[in-house]
Amino acid sequence: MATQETYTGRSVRPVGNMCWEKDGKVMLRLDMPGVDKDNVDIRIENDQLIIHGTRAKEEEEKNYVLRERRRGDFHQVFTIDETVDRENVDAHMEKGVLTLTLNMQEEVKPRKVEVKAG
Amino acid sequence: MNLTNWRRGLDPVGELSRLQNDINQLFDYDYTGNGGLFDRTVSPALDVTEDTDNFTVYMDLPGVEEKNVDVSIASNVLTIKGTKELPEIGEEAKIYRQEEWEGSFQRTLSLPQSVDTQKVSAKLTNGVLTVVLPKREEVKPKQIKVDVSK
Repeated sequence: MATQETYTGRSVRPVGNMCWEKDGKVMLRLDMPGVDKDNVDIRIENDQLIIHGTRAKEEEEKNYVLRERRRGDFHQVFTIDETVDRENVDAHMEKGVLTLTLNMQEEVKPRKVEVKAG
Repeated sequence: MNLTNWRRGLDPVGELSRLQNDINQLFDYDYTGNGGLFDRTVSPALDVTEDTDNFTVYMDLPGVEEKNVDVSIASNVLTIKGTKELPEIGEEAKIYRQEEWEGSFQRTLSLPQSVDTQKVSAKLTNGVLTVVLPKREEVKPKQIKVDVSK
């Protein structure tokens, strides 16, 4: 039986996420400002796509005059089904935005059947 | 293709602590807001810190290009404005979820007189804009060492 690892730290869901399908690929876009590309951890465990972004640690002794930004790491879990090719997931981090490309398994891609004249 | 947010199983203790978290965050500023009913400009959240030499302003601007950010100071008012563009995904794409905002944003801050407006610098790294506002030399606390002689 699969064990589920639950993240218990203070975290926020990446805001402004966007998800779309195009050309047999599912694209995910997650805003993770302040996260370096080396601090993004993407794992696939069974049917779960787990995305964790660790923000650069700030010295706590900072004297805040105004504090509106949300704190904490970014954590998001998606359930994926068997149509997603687990071996073929691309991730790209740019300007604090993570873009994931989930490719579909070859056999579930829509196929066009040619009709031959008899 | 089925893509849903993962849901926790039944866990009453976890649910309670999540509820507590949610209530704690209820009055936190949201990531973006706008100034009022007729204001169509997004106001991103910002942090301001102070130390002996500088004031530093941090603003989360994920996905915003450097060329689309404009930082200016006029009579001790700092204005950060710009536009955020979303990638072109084409007409044929099937959008499942769209929470991301696009368009123009603006924030203004009144600066204290102690800021040296000539020496302000700004940079955008990993989607976070950092504006460093140095204080004037004359207002920085100075430590004067007095030699005590016998």
